[in-house]
Amino acid sequence: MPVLESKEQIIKEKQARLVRALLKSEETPEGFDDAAIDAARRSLARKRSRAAARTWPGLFTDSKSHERFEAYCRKRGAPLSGALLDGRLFARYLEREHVLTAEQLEEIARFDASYMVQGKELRLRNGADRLFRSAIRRLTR
Amino acid sequence: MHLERRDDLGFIELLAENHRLDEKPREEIAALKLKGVDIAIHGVSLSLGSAGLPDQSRLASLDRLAEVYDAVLVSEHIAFVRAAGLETHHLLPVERTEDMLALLVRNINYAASRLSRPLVLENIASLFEWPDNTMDEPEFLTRLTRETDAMLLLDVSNLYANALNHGFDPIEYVERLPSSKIAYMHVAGGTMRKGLYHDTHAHPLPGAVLQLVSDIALRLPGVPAMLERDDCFPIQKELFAELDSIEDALSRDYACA
Repeated sequence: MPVLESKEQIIKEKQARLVRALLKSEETPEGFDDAAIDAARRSLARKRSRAAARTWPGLFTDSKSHERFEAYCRKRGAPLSGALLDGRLFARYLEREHVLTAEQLEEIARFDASYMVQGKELRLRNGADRLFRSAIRRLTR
Repeated sequence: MHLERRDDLGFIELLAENHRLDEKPREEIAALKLKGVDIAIHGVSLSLGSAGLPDQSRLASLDRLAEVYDAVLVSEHIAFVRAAGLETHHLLPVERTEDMLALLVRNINYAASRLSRPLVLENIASLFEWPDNTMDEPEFLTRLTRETDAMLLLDVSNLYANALNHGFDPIEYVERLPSSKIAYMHVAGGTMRKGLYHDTHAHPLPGAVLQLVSDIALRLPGVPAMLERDDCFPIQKELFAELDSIEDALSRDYACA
């Protein structure tokens, strides 16, 4: 392997370890200040929480919302692309925790009528998706 | 926010990630351009400090946006935002070593070669430092400007945050930068949390940051500055008062010269 490539590979691995420590709560890489990394970890979660709250205000209505979001971050680890999707996955987490109100469930249902989570992305439903969704609803009613 | 009501705006920044190329150019921005306000395109997701060359499609989008709004420059950060297949949505510091410098120089030259506007690079705020840094930031930035054609965007609030959190003299930092390479400055609000200063772009401008702007303006006469506010927008009166306070801080330069 050429020298530059091998040096770049080392940088890549070091950055990967750091990002996993910040997003997935893996061990702080050797030599870093643990307290500073922990502060950065919390700062990243707060920033992510604020972004999700802007796109999903209905999910952040009480004082425990941001706390719950941080718990979701710790459990979920890596954020996927975009606050809109992050908020939808947070909603899924809240559904499992059985803490959603009827209004929140309605908001999620309205959102799901237009969007669907596909792999690591969010996409707009097309006509066929909507037809399929309404058939499923009729069958499960 | 009715920015067109101000007659003293020299330039504004458009956050690239907030604009879609398949949408019509925004009329309020066209109105500002007609008044002679310059446009800068500001990106946050290019990740120049990541291993591998910068993403071609992101570069193409930045350049297309610069074309659409006839921008005078494109600015990005000396940082990385993704690794291990994970998006952090946050600007993370690069290790300041010879190897990292070589990688950044290559990536900056590559990015600049695919942009039709000058590339300007910004210093970031970070709550932590890499343990094996072999250079401090002024040396690292100076080397970058020597080894590429990039100019610098000095973020005064990021500098303030780092100086406070990591304990160094921000004025000495500025005095060691190549002043002719500094294109413009960012100024933003922040807040103290558990003994650390956080640059949030969501809080009012602290007096200490404005004082630092004044002190820097004395050393960098004529370098323009802009307010960065992208969250928790205040009412227009307060926002305009913040713009005035930056103008005042910059003009102390002329009073003392």
